[in-house]
Amino acid sequence: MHIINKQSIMINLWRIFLLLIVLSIWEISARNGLVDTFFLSQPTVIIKDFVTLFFSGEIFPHMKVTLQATFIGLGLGSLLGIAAAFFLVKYKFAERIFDPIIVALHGIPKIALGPLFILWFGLGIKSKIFLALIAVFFIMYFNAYGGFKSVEPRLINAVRLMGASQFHITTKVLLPSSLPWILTGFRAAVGLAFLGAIIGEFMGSTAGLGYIVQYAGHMYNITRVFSTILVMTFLMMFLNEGVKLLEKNVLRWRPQGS
Amino acid sequence: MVAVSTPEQILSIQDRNTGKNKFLVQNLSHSFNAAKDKTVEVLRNINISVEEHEFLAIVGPSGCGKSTLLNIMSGLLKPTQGQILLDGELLKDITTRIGYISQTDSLLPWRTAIANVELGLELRDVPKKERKNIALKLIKQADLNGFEKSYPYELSGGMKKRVDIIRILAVEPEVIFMDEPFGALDVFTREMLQDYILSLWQKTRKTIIFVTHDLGEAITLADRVIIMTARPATIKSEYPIPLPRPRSPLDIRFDPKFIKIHKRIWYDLKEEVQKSGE
Repeated sequence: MHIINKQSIMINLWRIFLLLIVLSIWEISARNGLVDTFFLSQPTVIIKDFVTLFFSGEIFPHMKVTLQATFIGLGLGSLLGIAAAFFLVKYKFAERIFDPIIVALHGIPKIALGPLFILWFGLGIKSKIFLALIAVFFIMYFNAYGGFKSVEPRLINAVRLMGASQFHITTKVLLPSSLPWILTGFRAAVGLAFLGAIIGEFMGSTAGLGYIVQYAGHMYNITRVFSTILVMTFLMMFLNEGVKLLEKNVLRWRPQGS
Repeated sequence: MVAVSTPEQILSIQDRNTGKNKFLVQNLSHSFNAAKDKTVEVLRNINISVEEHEFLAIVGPSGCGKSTLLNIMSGLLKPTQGQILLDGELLKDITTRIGYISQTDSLLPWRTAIANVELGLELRDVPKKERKNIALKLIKQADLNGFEKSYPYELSGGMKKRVDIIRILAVEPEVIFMDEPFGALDVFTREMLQDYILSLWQKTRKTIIFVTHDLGEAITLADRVIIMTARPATIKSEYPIPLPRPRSPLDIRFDPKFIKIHKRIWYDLKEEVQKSGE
């Protein structure tokens, strides 16, 4: 344990060191005119802009819009995906009809639906929610489906013999047993929902982080593009950590390291 | 070959048991379709009667259909022919009056030991407080103190089995089936658990039907041993086990009486084991 800790500290130090080197080269080249700051900006200016975005409070309403679309899309998409998987695993007849259809629909590049959603649901948050939702739905469907299918029959039998009803089998065996699968899907789904919301904002919107990037790009404000990307990166890191924490708490019953 | 019990033996069995028929298997036959036009006969005309408080062991060669028999007896599987009676009533479906302990551990891995023990009570809507008290008491009796909050992966094979057993005891079934419950465990753990089962039975006097392929285990535990034939399984013979109780699994096998009984039944069983190996 001790050795691993020491090692992970070293790894982190190396990471920071390498990052600093890249940033320094960028900064020095920008100052000496080796790279064109019009296209590449420069780290110190980006960080200054990043700080201003927060201190002026300018970024918060946009963050709120993007996160709202992300979370609503994530929630609805997850629920629908899990529900669809549950329904199809329960009803074999429906499974034979719908499963191939879902697999085929999954082949559509979801981003390509963006313009349609904006046409149908407008420039507001609705089209972004739908884009996030559709991206989340499929991954949650496939993971939940795999989870429900891999429940061990001996556990179901054992609980049935103890007098469990269908409802109890679902809540006490089926769902907890597929939770690791569902959470694996959820981890990927968080990123997809965020991406869906931002891409929707690129395509047509009046607010949101994606909107700022798009707008700044049109204005050739490369510094703003970079600083907003930095905001997105940090948000995504927080979301990832949140899911990790959730996984760790919910899956305490699994042996460490699996 | 049918074993003949001496009058003393019969008396000692009846002495121990109430003589009331708790559980009856009547004219049971079962076959399934393995492929088109091919049916496999698993069980043929099986009749078993178990008295209340009796400890019955069923022994047969591996793969003879013992588990199928237990699945039918517990209501998980519908037989092709025949019926099961519990207290004279026809058994049509799964009932919580029967507890079932299987070979593979079937604890829910996402529940702690205590939550697993509480499961059956939860299904019956027993209030939380009461559930906890019952579970804690059983955990203490099973020498699992300090492991209430452990998840199954943190428990040893023998501990898991004990949790499995008290989980069934918690809902107080009238009859307990055990399907080679110690099959997957090492010899020492097995003997400890046999000892545990014996002391449990001594205390609770539940009716137990214990299926195993280990003749020594059957003789150690049971009042009566039924030998089954190779597939299709029928009942070959029946032996009372007139060994005094309480018994100790560790010492009993050196008892000359145990050795004598073991030898006698073994010749009977050997034929079937050879047949099933062919």
